[in-house]
Amino acid sequence: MPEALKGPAAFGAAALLVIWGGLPWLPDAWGVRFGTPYLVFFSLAVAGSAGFFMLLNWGPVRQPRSALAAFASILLVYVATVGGVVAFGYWYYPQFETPRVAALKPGGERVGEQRGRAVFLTPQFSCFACHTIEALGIRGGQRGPDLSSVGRLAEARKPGVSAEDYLREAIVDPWACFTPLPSSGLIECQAVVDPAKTYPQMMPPGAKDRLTAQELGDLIAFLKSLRSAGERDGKRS
Amino acid sequence: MPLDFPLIGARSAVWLMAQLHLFFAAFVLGAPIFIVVSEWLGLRTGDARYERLARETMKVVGIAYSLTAVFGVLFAFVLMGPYQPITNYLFRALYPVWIAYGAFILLETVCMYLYWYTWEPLGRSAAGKRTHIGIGVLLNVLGTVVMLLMNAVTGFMNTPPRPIESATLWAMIDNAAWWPLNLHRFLGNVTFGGFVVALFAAFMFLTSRKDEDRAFYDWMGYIGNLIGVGALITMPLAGYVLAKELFVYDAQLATFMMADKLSGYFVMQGLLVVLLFLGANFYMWLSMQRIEGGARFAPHMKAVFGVLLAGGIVWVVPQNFFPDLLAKTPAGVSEQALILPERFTFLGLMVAKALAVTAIIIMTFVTYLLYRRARATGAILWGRIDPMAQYVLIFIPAVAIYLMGLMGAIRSFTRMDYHIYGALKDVTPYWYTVTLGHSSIMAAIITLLFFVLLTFVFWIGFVVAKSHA
Repeated sequence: MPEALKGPAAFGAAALLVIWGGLPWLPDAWGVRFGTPYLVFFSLAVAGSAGFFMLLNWGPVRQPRSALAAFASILLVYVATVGGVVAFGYWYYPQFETPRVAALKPGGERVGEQRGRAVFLTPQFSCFACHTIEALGIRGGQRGPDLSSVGRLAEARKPGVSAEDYLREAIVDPWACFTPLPSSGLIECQAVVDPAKTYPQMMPPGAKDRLTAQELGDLIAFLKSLRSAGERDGKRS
Repeated sequence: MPLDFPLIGARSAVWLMAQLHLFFAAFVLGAPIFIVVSEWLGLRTGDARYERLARETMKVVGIAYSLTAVFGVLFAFVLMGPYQPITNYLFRALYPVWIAYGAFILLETVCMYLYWYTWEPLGRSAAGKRTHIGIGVLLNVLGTVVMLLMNAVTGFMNTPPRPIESATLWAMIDNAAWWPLNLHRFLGNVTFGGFVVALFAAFMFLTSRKDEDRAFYDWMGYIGNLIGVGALITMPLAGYVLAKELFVYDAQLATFMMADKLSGYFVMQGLLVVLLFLGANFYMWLSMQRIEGGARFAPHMKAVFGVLLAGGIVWVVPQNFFPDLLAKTPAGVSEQALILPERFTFLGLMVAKALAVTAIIIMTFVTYLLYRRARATGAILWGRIDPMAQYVLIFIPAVAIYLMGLMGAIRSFTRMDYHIYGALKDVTPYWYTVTLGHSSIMAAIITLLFFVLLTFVFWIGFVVAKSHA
């Protein structure tokens, strides 16, 4: 390694040693405990800083010898810059994730439920933009409730109303009854919106006009089948 | 929804066309401001480089002007089909603004061609040159009016007057976001114009074979970067003014933007602005090496970079890794691991971020002071700069254009599921706020498309023209 690059490399190595070898072992009395995501964050910051100083010490680069080489090198810098920023964002912030779908379990869903899952993940209907189904590994948006156990919860949301009918109403006429926040401790849906107890109502209007009867039925069948992972497996067996 | 757009959907089509139109518009509005100043400096100082800078940049503007118009028309087309309700609403509500917009676009185009084609005939005498500069000033005035008119429409969509039913035309134009947007976009256009000129200079430097050309494009890159950085330094303040007006207008809108769904965008904004400042200072560091005796100032710069990097890390450090109000902890990760220890919570707050950005700006001033000091004691060997500096001048516009794309998406998303906030709902299938990941991919695609188009402009306007000559 050239002499000029040794300094930043040594700094980077020492800082990484402190981050991974020192920070996790600080006494509890100090009240300082950084979780792994922060340690990774600091490591990236150190690596980036060391890399930057290496670049400073690099020395002159060669002028491209042909126009084609100049074009190629310019394009490379451009694509690497934009690609690097996007890649960092994907690691850094969960909203960067577009829905990830876990593999189907053997003997899992019925045909209708599978079609309902497809409706859920169709960008046109955009259910995933606000809803996550953690139990199935579908990491969608965070504004609406996690639907991992919506099938079970729907049975108790409105006394005297079946899970299927409640789900239909919640999709077609979401203003009829507001979904309680998990932290509220409430089970039944609420007639009046309350920011402390219910989700803000942001379901899109006109779902009935956009979804065909078949699609709506499939979506309801899919949602009804979501009873959190354990219960789903039990039901299937 | 009356019509949709095949394959990519109406929202993506509008997004693509609107942003490409705005990128080119930002350049053709921002660049003429310093083109005229450069032409005037050329007349005043007799330094032929200013004249050449003004003329070559204007040639790029001339070609880019056509592309601005093309993407403007395509933008209008994709709006007219799938987004008829909002198009009709805006035309009905702000009809005189659209009429004025058409008239001023026509005047601006006439003035632009007049400015370009009278360059040589009017340049033969000092009086003619002054007249030509006057046409350039008029071009800028007309361009600024066009920008004000369109900002009125954009601002109206974000912050319409309340109650909207009884609002006068002037109240709709002079909405809460109008002047902050005018200020923000004016400074943004100058920044953008400066960085694109630097990109052009870097492109020409790397493809030049003659030492005299390299010397000129080295100087041009330096000036472009200086303009870009000079205006960039003022941008955080203009951003604060715009955000403050949005907070005053509607707290829910502001919370959605800064503390909820869009909060991640601002973290990315922090990262991108830090990269811009790092790039600009790195370029100055490399510039200093081509000054006779300038290398002796280099060690001081390392402390500057230390502060810049520390400031950057503070700006990007999150208070927790799930800034969304309704976010949940992923399975298998303790919530505590995602939250800063209490003693360091201040690092995630605005007070630390503001301090960090202030330190970054001050250090950038220090860099320029060191550069001036070096320049005072040694001659600048233009053209002898490390070619790496030209790649830095490519890196900076790449970040700036991507940043502008992402920030444009934020401004649009603050309307939530409204076309006109609180007044006209978006009932298309694309009403929802997309994830940051989706926006970042869109911004990346548009940035690369814009770059390809710019490269085409540089190539057709200069490389091909030169080889033909």
